[in-house]
Amino acid sequence: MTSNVLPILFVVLGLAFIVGVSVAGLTIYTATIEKAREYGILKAVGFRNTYLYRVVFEQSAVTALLGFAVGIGLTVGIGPFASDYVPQFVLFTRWQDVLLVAGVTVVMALIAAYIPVRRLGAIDPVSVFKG
Amino acid sequence: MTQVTKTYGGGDAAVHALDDVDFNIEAGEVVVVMGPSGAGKTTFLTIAGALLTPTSGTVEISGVNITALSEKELPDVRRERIGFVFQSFNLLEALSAIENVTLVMTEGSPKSRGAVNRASELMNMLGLGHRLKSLPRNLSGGEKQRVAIARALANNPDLILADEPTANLDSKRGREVMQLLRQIAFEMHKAVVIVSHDHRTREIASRIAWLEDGTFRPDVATDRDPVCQRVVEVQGSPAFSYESRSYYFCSTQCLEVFKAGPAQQLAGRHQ
Repeated sequence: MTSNVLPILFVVLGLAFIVGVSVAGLTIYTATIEKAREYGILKAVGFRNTYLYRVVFEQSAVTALLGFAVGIGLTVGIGPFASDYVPQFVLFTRWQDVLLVAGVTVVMALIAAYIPVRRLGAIDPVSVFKG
Repeated sequence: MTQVTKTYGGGDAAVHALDDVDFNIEAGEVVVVMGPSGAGKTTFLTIAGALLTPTSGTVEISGVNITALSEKELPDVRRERIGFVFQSFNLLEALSAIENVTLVMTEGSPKSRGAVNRASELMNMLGLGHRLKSLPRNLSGGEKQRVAIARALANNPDLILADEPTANLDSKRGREVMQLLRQIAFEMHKAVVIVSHDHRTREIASRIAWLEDGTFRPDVATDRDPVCQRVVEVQGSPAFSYESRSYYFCSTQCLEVFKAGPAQQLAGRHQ
């Protein structure tokens, strides 16, 4: 039974990872595009690309942290009651798993920030001189 | 700036935005760079501001040859040696007036004590003491431009570059900003370069440099277009005689507007 279910769970986890990275990436990318002119201003007045990259990675990390906190909160808060309603559903949370999810979340945040950071590098500070 | 050339494209399609340009400005001077649209003014300003690398020639600011620096070293030059004043103010909308100023001093830590003191001092000097915590959207155009000037002065640079600083201001606020820039040059001993179409900037200029077709042209006779108030070169511009005086225009559209009601246009000019 377990050997039949585990591959399915891994596929679900993989999909969740991809969807998570996509949603986080899109959120950060949209925020970066919306603020492109402001990033251009910062570049023009002497901010280095590395500082701007840090800002985007921080935004991504905060988004991921919030997602992680909500996920852990829901797991701890709702998990114990879930089996009351669905007896087949057994939830056992180990601290190692929590750490693993935290690590995966950090990786997701880094991947999600990669494309916006590349976009940031391409912003031309000369553009802020136009009107 | 010595023998600076900036070429876009190559071969037959090559465009010389700047062509073997020499330019020098001393501390305490205000130089107004004028010229028709497409003359190369923005290219000149962005090269002087270490934002664009010339195709050939050298640019020195306070004895530092910035054309010899690597791409990674240029942001430091911009932050420490140059202050920028933009046409559309370019303040960060999410930050208060004082945070916009302190940000450039601390590279991202707008609450540093020393930076806050320096920014408060500058903003008080510019008459913005009561606006320190206001967001840009709550400031008037003149106030926004004064915050931008405070930001330009924050790191005590030697050179201030202003791109059409009065273009988005009414006549009164425009004059105030021009006087501020003049004061900054004379009293704080800064070199101030203003790129502008605005005839009012001539009032504060130590000298005027006329840029056209990528080169500075000496001894160019200019006049003010009585319709749009732009400074235009006399030679080659559409002209019209009215009451035994010649008027010159930036375009035939302005000329036609003037012809339709010269008395009204001239009355408007003196307001």
